[in-house]
Formats: sequence, C-alpha cells, structure tokens
Amino acid sequence: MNAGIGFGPVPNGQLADGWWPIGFGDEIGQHPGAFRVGGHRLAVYRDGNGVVRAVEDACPHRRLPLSMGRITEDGYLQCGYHGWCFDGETGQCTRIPNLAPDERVPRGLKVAVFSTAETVADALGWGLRTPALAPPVGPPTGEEPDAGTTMFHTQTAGRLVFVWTGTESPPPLNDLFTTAAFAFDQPELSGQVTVRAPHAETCEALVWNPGKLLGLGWLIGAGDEVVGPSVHTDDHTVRVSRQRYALDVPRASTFDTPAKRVTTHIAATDALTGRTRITVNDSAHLPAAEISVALTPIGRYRTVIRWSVAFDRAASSLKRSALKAAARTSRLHGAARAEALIDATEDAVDAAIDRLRELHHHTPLMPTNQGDAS
Amino acid sequence: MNQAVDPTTLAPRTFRPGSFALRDAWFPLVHTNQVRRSPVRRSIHGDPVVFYRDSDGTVRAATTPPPGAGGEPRGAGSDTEHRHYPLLERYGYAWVWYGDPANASPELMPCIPHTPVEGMPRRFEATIVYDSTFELVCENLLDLTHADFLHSKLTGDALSEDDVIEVESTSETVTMVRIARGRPIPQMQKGFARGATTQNVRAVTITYVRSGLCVLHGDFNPGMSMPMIHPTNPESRIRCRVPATFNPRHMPALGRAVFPLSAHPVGRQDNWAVRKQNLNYLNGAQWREDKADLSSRFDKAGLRYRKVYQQLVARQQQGDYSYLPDSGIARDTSEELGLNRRA
Repeated sequence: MNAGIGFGPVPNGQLADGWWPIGFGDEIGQHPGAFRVGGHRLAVYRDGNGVVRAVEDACPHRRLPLSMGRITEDGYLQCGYHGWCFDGETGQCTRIPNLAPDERVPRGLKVAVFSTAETVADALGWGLRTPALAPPVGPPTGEEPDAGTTMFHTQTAGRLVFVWTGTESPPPLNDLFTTAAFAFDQPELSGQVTVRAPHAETCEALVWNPGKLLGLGWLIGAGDEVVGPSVHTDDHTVRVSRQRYALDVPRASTFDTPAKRVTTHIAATDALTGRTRITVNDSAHLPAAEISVALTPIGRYRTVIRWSVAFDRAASSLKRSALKAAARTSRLHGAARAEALIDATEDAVDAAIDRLRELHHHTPLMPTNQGDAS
Repeated sequence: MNQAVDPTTLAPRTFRPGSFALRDAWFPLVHTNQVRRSPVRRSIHGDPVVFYRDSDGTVRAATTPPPGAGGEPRGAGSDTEHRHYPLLERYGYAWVWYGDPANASPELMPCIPHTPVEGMPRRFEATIVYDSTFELVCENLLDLTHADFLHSKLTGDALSEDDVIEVESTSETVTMVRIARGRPIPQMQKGFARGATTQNVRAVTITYVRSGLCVLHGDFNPGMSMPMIHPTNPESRIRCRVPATFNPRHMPALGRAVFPLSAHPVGRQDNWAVRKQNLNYLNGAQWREDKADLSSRFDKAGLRYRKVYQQLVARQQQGDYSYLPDSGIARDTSEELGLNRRA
C-alpha cells in the first residue's frame, strides 16, 4: 500500500519523513512536556532563548522519560532521575552530577521532581515539585560522554510548532501558501480536539467536510453540497472548492433542506500531513476568513485536530467580536461528532477524497483538474 | 583488546529485563506474621503461591488453597494441581523454593546478619508494590545516586566532598558499597544528627541476583543506621512486591518506631521513575535495538548486575540451574555490610 515515499502512518506507527505539527506554540513552555507524533514520543520545551527544542522522550542513561525532568537556568534539559543534562540543540549530554569533585552542585538541586499535579498537594502548590529552574550547568568539563540523546529539528510557523521526523537533515518547512487577497489578523481563536481515528481517515474527512469536522459550519458550511466540488491536485496538495449549505439540518422525507444560506470555501490540503488552509471570501454578512488546520497523528488510532481562525482585518470590530463569540462556541464541538463524520467518510462518494487516495497510493488514475458534476 | 572476548564477561549491550524467569532459588514471599486464619495469595513469575496455616499452625505454601479454606476464585483452579512448595521460615519470612524441589537446600538460603532469625515485630515491616519488572528495581537499589534526586530530603543530596562506589560480585550476588564523606545533613535526619552539619555515608546493597533479594545497610554518621531487607519478588513483568523489613539503629525510640512509615513515600518516589522506565525497557517499539544505554562511573554496580544477570540467564537457558562454587550465596555478610562499625 504505502510503497515508495509512503503517506500517513505506516502500520508500525512510524511516520513518513516530513514536517509534522505537534502543537500550538503556547502549549510549549519552560517545563518539558510529553508530546507524541506517530510512534515518536518527544520531550518538548523552550530553552533559555525561547527556542522550541524536541528530544526523544527517554533519557539515554536509564530511559526515564525526559519530559519528567526540568530545565536548568542555562537552558539545558535535566533528567529527573539522576540529573543528567542535555543540550536540546545537539542532543549532547552536558553534565552528569557528582562527576567533577571540584564543582559543587548548588543546594537547589535537592528536590524530588514530580510530574505535574500528580497529587492533590502538587495541584495545590504544596507538593515536592519545584517550579524553579534547576541550577546552571556551566561550561563543559570534558567528563561528559560522547553520545547523547536523539534530538529532532523543530520549526515554528504561525502558531504551530512542527518537528521533522526523518533521519537526514530536513528541507525547509514549506507551509501552505496564504492567499494574499485579504489582510488577515493573527489568528483570533483556536480550538483543538482529539479524535479516536487514524490520521489518514481524519485527513479524508477534513477534505470532505471540514465545516462539520471542526464545528465551523456556520462559517465554511457543513450541510449538503449545492454543486459538485472542483478539485485540483498537484504533487502533494489537493485543492478543493466547495459550495455547501451552511447548516447541516436534517431533511424531512423528500423535502428540500430548510437551510438557505450557502457558503463557498477553498481548501488546500497537504496530502502527506493533512495540513490544511481554508479560505472563505467575504459575503453579505460575514467578512473573509482564513482557517488553518493541523492534524497530528498520535499512535495508530488517535489524531489531534488543531484549528485556528483569522478574520479579515477590514471588517468592523463589532462584527469581529461577534464572530469570535461564535467561533468560541465551536470549541465546544466534541470529539464524538467528529468521529461520526470520520466513520462516514469510509462510504463517502467524493472526487476530492478520490484524489487524496490516489496521492496516497501514488497512482493517478484520472487526469486532475476535474470537477465532480454528479 | 583484539582477542576474542567472551561476550558474557562484559556488561550486555542491550539489557532485557523481564525476558526470563530465573529459578531454583529461595524467595521470601511473605512475612509469616501476615499469614493468619485465611490463606494469603501471592504470585511468583506469574505462578500462584497460596500461604496458609495447617491444623498445627505451620505455614505451608501451595499452588492452590487447601480444600475447604475458601478464597478459591470461582471457576478457576480446577486445572492447577494442588502442589506444595518447599518452604522455610527465617528472618520473619516464609521462603519459598521456586524451581525444582529436588534442588531445594537450606544451604542455599542467604544469610542476613542484621535481622534476628525469628524476624522483627509487625511495625518494622512494610509491603510495597512497584509497577515494574523486578530487575529494574534491583538495579535502582544498586545505583544509589538516584537517591540524590528522588529521596534527597531523606538521604541527602549530591553535595559530598567525595563519592566513591565499589563493586564486588560473585556468580550469584552483586555487592555495591557507596562511601561519601562530608555530605550536608538531609532535612529529615536533622533530628538525629545532634547539631552536626555534615555526615559520612556508607551505603551497602547486596543483591542476590536470582531472587531479587536485596540486603541493605545505609549508615549515616552522625545519624541513623538503617539495616534493611528488601526482597524484590517478581510477580509479573509489570509488577513486583517488596515485603520489606527495617531494623533501625542509632535512633531515638520514637524515630525507630516511625521510620518504617517512610517506606511508602520513598517507594512512591521510586515507582514514579521505574514505572516509566519499565515501558521504555519492555516495550521494544520505544527504543531502537541498536542503541545501548549510556552509563557513568556511578553505574558500575548496575552494569555488573546486568552482567551477572545475563550470565545466569545464559546458563539457565541451557538448563544449568546449579550454583557455582564461588556463588557465596550463604556467606556471612556482616563485614561487607559494615554492621560492627560506623561510617
């Protein structure tokens, strides 16, 4: 199936080489966090300069997850078990406590490092965990082992943080183009939901009906399609333009849908990672908007959907705050409805999904740039 | 260095805990004073062991509860034959021979000089359960530098004038001695230190590799001396049960009475680490096969343990369950433990 380049998670949970989104930037702070992408487990943190670093989430010494450690004052990651320190840029081990007899470890080191809020006491701030940074490590002493931990390249694009999962050095991150027709704000609102569905199927659902998947139907349309989609594919991107009824209201018997408002959106999806940008032109009631979606596969059967939305800066501030309130309700959109849509994708009859599957299998069957006028 | 080296004389490049059940050893599975009217159910490498007292009050160990004793799970046990384990009572434990009963011999019983043969009173005992395979817990006890991070309030931090680790081993045991001088008195021991600001530490761990039994003596001078029995009984690859016994010395009576209560807070700090370690050692997908663990000079004892463990596994895989002449399994360890002197 996934011969050649391979798309999506292959059965052993390993991902194809690529820049994969792992989270919004504000999920990553000065305490190392445990992140997953495909079969990889990563400890991700910001070093002293605020640069995001990602290392394998197992200390090369005794394999304790490094996300259970903490950051030193000079920005190294310190394991919580024996205090080995690592440089997140090179992965090099920078310090082993007790090694240098002339170098005193400050008293601040004496602390049991506990994972976040493991006990009620920790949650209330009375636990053994220290919020303080570990003492500085200082320059190398020459006693460090040659080897170190495995680090991953990271890059930040907009609000999203990406890691490179390949072994060789990565190409520059080529995030999807932005349409320059409108001047968009910084994303005003974002949401995230974890679905129990594999990445490839979630990707198909996103191409098929993003409004319903994200709960943003009022903005990009979630109901029946008014006309067939127009699909254009190139090497690794599927671009779809759809016109849908905004709301997905059930139809009674053979009557037409009571929904009246029709919205048009254009979605560009990277076939490998599912990274998607959706643009909606301004209409009588709503300003132009741009929605950015990132899919993070976690293990074999879970995917995190992260979305953020930005509105045209030309719209009045009153209108924009009303839209923000509406978008906030979309955050209440639960995983169950998204999973139901992903389940239904299996039987979907849709030109864009066909193109996406062709790109996955790398065997184009039909010429592209073709609408589905069914 | 270019000569062919027997691979079993080196520490294994990849350590595979939980991959083999070592047998033919005495396992102190339960405190005898906990076997009372109803049977006590334990497990060893997944095999059932049921302790009960027969009509004259002797502790017996069998694969199934005695008929009529109750406690038999419904719908189970019919396929397990009622078979007795060889059993010895010593140091307050019921020791069970796991392996071929024909090889069971009291001469293969470890000697624990710091504990009375009849055991300690109930208040000096504590049973801790770790969510990890027993090899990782043994290795954790042979590598006491972890205590500087996990248990620093009780045992002190990494601030000593010097810190030396010595290792000796036989084909069955690994002895680790850590001598640190001039360490600041840890917070929890300030009451025993009579105003001193630093103390000397001599911590000894003797690990009996087959059974996971660890005999410890942590000597803090000025301060407490803590002889301890820490049997790391393997129940499964994700569980081991430690019926520990303390014999605190050089402490006021109140401290002596209270100290065994520290077993669970301390055990919880260790479990915080070994529980996560276990996943990364046992779940092959988490770790690349070609990648060896890094080690420092403080891991000498842990690496020796891996080597002895690997040699035992290699011998038992070929059906050799015997004890070699150098095993020293029943030797008197009071000198190694340093029971008659202070650090």
